[in-house]
Amino acid sequence: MNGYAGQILRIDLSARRSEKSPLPDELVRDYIGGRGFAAKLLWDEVPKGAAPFSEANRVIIASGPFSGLFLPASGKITFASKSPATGGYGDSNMGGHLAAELKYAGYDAVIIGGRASAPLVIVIDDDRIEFRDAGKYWGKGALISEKMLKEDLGEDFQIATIGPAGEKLVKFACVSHDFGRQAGRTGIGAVLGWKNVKAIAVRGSKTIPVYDQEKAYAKGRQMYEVCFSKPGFKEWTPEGTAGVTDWVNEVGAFPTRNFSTTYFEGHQDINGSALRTRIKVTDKGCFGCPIPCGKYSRVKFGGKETYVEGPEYETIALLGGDCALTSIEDVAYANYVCDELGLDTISGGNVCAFAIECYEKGILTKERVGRELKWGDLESVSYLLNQIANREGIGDLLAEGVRTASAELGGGSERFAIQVKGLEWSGYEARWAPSMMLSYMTCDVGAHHNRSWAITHDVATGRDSLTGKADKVIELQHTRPLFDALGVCRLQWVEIGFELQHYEQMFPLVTGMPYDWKQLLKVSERIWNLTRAFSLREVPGFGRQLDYPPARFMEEPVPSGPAQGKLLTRDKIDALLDDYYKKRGWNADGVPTREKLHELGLDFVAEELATCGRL
Amino acid sequence: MKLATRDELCSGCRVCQMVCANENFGENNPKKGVVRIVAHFPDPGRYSVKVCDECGTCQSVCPVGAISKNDRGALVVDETTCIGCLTCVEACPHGVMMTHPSRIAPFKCTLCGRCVEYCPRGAIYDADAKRA
Amino acid sequence: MRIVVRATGMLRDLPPFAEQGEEIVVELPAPASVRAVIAAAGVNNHLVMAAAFDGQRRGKDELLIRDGELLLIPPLAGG
Repeated sequence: MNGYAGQILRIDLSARRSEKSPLPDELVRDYIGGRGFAAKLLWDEVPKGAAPFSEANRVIIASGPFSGLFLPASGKITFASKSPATGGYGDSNMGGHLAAELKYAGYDAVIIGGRASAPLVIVIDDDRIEFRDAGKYWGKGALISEKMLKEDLGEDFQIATIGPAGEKLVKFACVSHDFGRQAGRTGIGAVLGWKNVKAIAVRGSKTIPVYDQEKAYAKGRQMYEVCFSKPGFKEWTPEGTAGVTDWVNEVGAFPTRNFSTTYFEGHQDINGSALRTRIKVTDKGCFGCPIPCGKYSRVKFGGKETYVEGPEYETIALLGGDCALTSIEDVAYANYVCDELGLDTISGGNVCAFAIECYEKGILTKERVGRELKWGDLESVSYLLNQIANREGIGDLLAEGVRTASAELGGGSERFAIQVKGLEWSGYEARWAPSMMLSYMTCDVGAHHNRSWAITHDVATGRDSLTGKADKVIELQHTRPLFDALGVCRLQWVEIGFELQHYEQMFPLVTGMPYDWKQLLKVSERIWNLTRAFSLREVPGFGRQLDYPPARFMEEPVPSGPAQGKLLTRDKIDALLDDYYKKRGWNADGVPTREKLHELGLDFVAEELATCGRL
Repeated sequence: MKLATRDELCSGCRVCQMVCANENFGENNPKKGVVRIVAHFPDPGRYSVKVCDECGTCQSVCPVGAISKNDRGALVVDETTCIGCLTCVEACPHGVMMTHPSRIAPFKCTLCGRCVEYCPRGAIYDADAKRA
Repeated sequence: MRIVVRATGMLRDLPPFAEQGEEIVVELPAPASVRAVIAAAGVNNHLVMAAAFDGQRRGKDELLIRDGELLLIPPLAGG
């Protein structure tokens, strides 16, 4: 099967058994790979009503047809599961080298089900599958565990681990890999933790076949040459994603003090320039990537040298601005704490900021927390992160995420629990950016920016206007996740203007499938509707009512900075949603219509939703 | 051509291994590439890059004379003569005489130069070239 | 002072580059801030995240004092 390894690996943890089966043609034809495989496999395999922490829930790991091949940034893999944070569809994708290695081992996807009776490591070594006792690693940090596993198994293994946070079922525990890459969002680390999977170690030696080797090799060379010729190739790499920090402040979209305002006066001490000049050691990249975005850094704390990959922009936004940390060194250290504990830095920063605001308002007391909490205080943040990962004291509640924590704490804190659907909001404040607001509201997994990064569209076409915003969001929600289905990174396109046509031209050379970009976007639309349907099936009340932003964004004007006075009132939010649903072919409650599902070949979804009374 | 490296520029991307295998084996399989990348993480957080410098050690230890120069001046292993003893693999001072489960004979750099051309970082370069 | 202003990424698809082409030549007296040169080229400053003058990254408030090429970089997604 050209472009694919041609096999699915199924792991039954309860029986400690594995099974290999051929990759089905229909899965490839209709869902392409990566996120597409994940969405379809979760729909098929997870029974309605299964709890996230259950044997019936699945963790799907899937690469795409471009993964592991000679073309720019072919290193992306998707992790997916029923999310413990939202109860609905959750996925997160990860760079590094795991995608490629899994394909060389001979697998396009791994389906993990059941629950192991004791912590184990799943070892995938070409055809050999082993379940190894994880006793010596359990309880250890995600980074340390990877180091130990590389020493024990071999440096040529690619390894994904969970940290203590995943073991303790923290709702925003992540999956870690390659000393600094994560599948960060939606709490997949906790699902693996519940299933007693400490790590997955992969080594592969096989060749990946392509449809036209000569033409694909030539096209690959050309793709790299085009990347090399882009001005951003030299310009963007030194600071990577952190380079956008100043700009986001300049346009008043920077999360500051739990999104209470949108400009951080200390941003120049935590920006890309600070990172590059003060702490960066190496530009570290993923498989096949010409513009390594990883900024591997070194900071000294308490006389000890600490290494961390980062901080990247999101971490600068959520651990930096949102907690008001005042130096890049502090942000890097907080980043390291998250990485070792196995916590998503986005949710981690958001949750800490929420706790600090609760403390400021007297909703949390020194007695309950165990110490005082302050803005701009690394010790406050570090203390909270450790409490959370260990589920100690207030950490046990905060580990549930801000939606649950605010429901328990009350005192009006629900209004500033900055989340949608139970997933904490990421690094772009949007009271003066309607497209971005809509992006966060309608992202399938909850408040995440990766599906649709639309803020420049707002700046370019008018930040106060609502016209055309839904169209742009929908366009991006099909284009960006397509990369997650293909198994490649989109930053070449996003950051250095590498043209989409190159991926379109490469697709038939690799797979032999005659899909043009328009047809691939249709697959992406199919996947979009399928993940929406999964959550509609699984989450009570899912639909329009869970597409709203937090009250802060609809009721509190931005108090300071470039976006001062801005907010998006409920009527405007409703107008955006109405336009969005209409353009998507969904009803006013945000449910795909029968016609739309039929158009996308999702009649089986329509049947199921009708059975559940959602259609 | 003489391969040399600037290790501090290596990002670990393995484009060198991919282009090598595509060029020399016509396959997408970086495990058939002959650049060896060593990762040193978390501390000190860098990569080392090992390339063949045509030192000739492999040729000098081969018991059956299976290693001789190709028309680019690179020492290469003649698969038909090679007996798979792997003495050259052990002897190679940089660990760049490679083996792969699908083959008996080890394989090495052919001085095709594709890694120099396609390393996005300039971490591998031709020390003989007038402009690096 | 003659500055050749070029754009990368999405900036090339937006006015003024979308209409005028890949290069916009700006003449203005030295010294002028990068921000001023951007404005003189008719580009929305908020759509420029960073700029490089003759290959060197420059802040928007830095002053340019001689002829050269200014490359404009649009805001790029964080991650």
